[in-house]
Amino acid sequence: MEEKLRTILKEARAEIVSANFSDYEQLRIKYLGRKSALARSLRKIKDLPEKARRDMGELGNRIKREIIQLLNDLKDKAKDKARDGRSASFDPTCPGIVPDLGRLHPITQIIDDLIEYFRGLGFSVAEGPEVELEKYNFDLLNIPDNHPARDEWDTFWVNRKEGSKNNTLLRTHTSPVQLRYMKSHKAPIRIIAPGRTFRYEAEDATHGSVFYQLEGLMIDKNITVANLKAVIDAMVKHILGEDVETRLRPSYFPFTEPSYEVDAWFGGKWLELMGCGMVSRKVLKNGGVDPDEYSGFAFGMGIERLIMLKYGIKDIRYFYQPNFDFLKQF
Amino acid sequence: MKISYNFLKNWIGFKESPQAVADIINLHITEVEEVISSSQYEGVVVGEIKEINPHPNADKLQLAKVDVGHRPGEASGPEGDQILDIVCGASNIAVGQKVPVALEGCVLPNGLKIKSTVIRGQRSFGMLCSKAELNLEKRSGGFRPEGESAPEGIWILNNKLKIGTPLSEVIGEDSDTIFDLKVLSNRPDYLSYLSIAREVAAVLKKDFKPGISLDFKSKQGKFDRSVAVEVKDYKLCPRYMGRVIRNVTVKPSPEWMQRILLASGLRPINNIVDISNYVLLELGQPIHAFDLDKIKDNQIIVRQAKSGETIRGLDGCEHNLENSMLVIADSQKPLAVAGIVGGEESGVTEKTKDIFLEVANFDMVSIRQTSRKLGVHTDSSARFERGLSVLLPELAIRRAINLIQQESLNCEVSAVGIDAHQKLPDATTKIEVATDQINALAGITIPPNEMVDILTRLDMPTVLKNGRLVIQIPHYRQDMRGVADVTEEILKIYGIDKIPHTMPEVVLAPSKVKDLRLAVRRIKEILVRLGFIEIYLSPFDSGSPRAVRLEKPLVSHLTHLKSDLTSGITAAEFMEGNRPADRFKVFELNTAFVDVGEVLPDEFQQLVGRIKDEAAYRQIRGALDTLLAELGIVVEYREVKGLNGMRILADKKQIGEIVRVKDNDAYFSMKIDGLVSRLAGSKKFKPLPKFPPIKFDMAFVVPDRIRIGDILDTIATADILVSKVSLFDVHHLGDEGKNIAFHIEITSEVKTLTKEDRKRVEERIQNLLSERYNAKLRQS
Repeated sequence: MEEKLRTILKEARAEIVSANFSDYEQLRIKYLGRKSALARSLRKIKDLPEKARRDMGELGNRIKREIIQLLNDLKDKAKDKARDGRSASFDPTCPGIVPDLGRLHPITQIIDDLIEYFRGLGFSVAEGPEVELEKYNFDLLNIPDNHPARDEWDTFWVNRKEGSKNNTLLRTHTSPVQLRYMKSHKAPIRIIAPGRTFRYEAEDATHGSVFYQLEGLMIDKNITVANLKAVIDAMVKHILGEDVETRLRPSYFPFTEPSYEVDAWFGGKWLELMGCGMVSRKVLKNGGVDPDEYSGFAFGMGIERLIMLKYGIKDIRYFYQPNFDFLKQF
Repeated sequence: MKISYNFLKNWIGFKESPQAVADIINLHITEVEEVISSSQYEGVVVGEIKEINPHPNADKLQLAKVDVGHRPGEASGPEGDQILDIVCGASNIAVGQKVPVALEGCVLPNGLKIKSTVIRGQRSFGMLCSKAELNLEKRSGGFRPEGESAPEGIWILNNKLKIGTPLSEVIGEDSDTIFDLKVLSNRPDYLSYLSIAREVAAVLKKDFKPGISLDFKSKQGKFDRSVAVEVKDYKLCPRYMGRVIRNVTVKPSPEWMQRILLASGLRPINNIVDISNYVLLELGQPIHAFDLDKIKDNQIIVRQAKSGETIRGLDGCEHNLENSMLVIADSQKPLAVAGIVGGEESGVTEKTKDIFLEVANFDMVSIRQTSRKLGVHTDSSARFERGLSVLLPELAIRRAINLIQQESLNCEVSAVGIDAHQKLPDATTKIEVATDQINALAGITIPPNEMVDILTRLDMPTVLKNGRLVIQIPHYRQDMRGVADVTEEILKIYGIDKIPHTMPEVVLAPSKVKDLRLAVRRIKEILVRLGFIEIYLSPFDSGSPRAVRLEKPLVSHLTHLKSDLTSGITAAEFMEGNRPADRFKVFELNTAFVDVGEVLPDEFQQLVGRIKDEAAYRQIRGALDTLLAELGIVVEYREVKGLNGMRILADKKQIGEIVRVKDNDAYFSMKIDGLVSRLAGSKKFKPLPKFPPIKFDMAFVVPDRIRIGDILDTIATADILVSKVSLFDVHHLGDEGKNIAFHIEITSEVKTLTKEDRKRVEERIQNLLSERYNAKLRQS
């Protein structure tokens, strides 16, 4: 009997030590199961004489405990192995290999955002040339030559001859798109016109000679100042946040009447954001729209300025410099 | 236009604070660009000493706790007052005293800037002041370094003063606040105190009576000096008024007048010049005074300048005059450039006895052109070029004479005034606007009586008749023409903030966007997915053939609009962390301009991309191919002599190029416009393969001159079963040529491919390459 028990242990040890965890269950049944040699032997102990019964009982139990231990070791070994499946040199805290992340320029981002916003309100997107005729940039917008209003728009001239109808310039604002669109489309009109504009102005931290604007124009029956206020306010809230308040101040633009400046309460103060107003009757007429039937509002805002306010950027020149420290922040 | 708060306050009679008035002007009249305080004692307030302790590190110094009253936005004590720790050297202070405290940030009249500083280990947040430090008492010696004892002692104030009171109030300083206003180009009258005061009063609903005295006494009987005036062109000078005044006493003007001139940025000179400037500020009408003795032959001729004529102006500069310029001349030479600048020679000086006063009206366009040509911009030209009323001189000349007579009591005013003009307009015109129209434009209902009240307060007497406003428009309000103008005036006084936010109600219509913009957006998105960073660069460069030239560049070498964006992106030095970046992927997509001999140039969208990294050419080629494949555009690449890369063609036309600059630097450029029509509008779905493909590799050795592109094409078209081929290795073997290796995939849509199929294709490829390119198969 003793011999038999010791053989069982020997076999079990030999087999379990060299086994894989996948064999665990099978080995457990083989050595500890009800039909195992050990179980069968232990069942026979009760038939032994008193002394042998006690000795063999003790031995049997010791062997059983030892087999349980061996099986537990197998389980632990499996666990260790799972951990060791990685190579010793692997360090999971090592940082990742960073892929190149492409980015759109902040000007593109904000223009795309505004296009999406206004398309949601049913506005179409209109375009116009950057080299523009004087008549669209100025005259038809009610900014006649030799009027002091022109001082507001320092101009890069491309071709200028006194009295010529073909004078060309780099558009000083996106407002000429208003006229081009009115002339080629029937009212009602709902458009935005984002684009590059130019001013003949020495560059510094707050003035760029090249910058982007977004023009808005809505012409329909019964368009009011109250409508203008609502659309502007909603747009500013969309860009700068729902808690941002806006206000309108009296101003003057030759192509709108009344004309207003828009301020936003942002970062603890009122900041000037853009100009707007009700499209003047003269401009409506110049665009072929009947001012007795239709009214409209228009607005125009500087894109860089908006981004600068939003992010607290202090120098407009960053936008046109090839500097990744700037470009990778957006 | 700089406006004095005190002047407005006295004239209108209101109690509003400077900030409140600034807000009124800003929100109801015109932009306040700056609010400037003219107090010498800004930031000095009455404080009460609450506690005095010895300074732990200095025998002569004391540590005072001073209550300076409630200061909004500052941390405050239990009663809402701010208690400051201040180190003080004077021995005359005691608890309970009221003293002047200079707060952090203020600048004392002697120029000392108050900062919070540590004095021998104790922080001091301000300074207790002596009279001398406030320039209220003379003392010898220079400034006292902070914290050192003030021998004359701190100024102990009257104990009844309220804590926090500004010192300027305590000493009754004649302080003022100046508002710098933006001048709107349609409102020349905003360049006068009168119009600003009238509108401020209208907002405050104060009855405003200007009370500007226009009376004067003219000399009766014989008056032996006169001037003959001849206006050559009434278009350029619609009105010329003048008056001779004798025996004036030229001396400094009274203090009140000097103060208002200074407040508005004008330098006091003498009483005659100051009076003309004062009237300019008050009414907005420029006035010029000539020394009568300097007018040759007592003759004034308003004429265009003769070429070659010059004049030395009051600005101290010599001006060359041109034909187009209007001058005020005597029988011999110009005395002044009309409406812009007076001549130095004919100006009023201390020696002047008799004067000729000119109050005229000039054509705004002519003034503006002359002012720009001469580069001379004056207070006078700023007003004339905005278009003044031809009726204003009547008022202004009387006002000027009134003031001169007050100042120079014994002077004699000629009974005969000169007034040269053609037909004058009516003093007022009438317009009618329906109140409904105003409400319809505003989007709010304003009571008609309110409208009448506002317009009447604005010097436009109005009555209501059958729902229509009948408005008398004074001649100086040429900008008031119709419903929009009237609405604008009413709204700004009524309060723009009272208009509700009402979203428009409209008929729905789809939003449209041009294909080009959509294409541009798609291209940008794909490039970003490929890891490119978008850049915007200057649209200017130094020019190339057919580029659009600027008449006058802003920067001397940036003379043209770019006709090709390539130069910009390839020349740009990309920075990162203040150093040139050594690897990057960037693109720019923007407008380029080519002069095509028409009025407007051809504007087109150009895409340029650049990679700086290992194997830059292959990377950028891969990116470009991926972009084009994603867009569904097929182009042709063609090698040309002299180009370190290839041309990109679409429909046999060149649309761009792809170029290797260095191993680690390559770029491409491409015109976008022509591709838009070819953009696959919607993608087509291809059924997934039913039978598995077979993948295998083949490697060949070919002579160096053989183009890999040709080999790829040959493999791709070798057999109908070839579905994919890609290069995975190239290496040069010296004289033997180069080793090139490909992944090849064959697929069939109709059957499961067998080893025999693969073998057949392999043989075919091998044979073709061997035949055409002398390629030797490398056995693996």
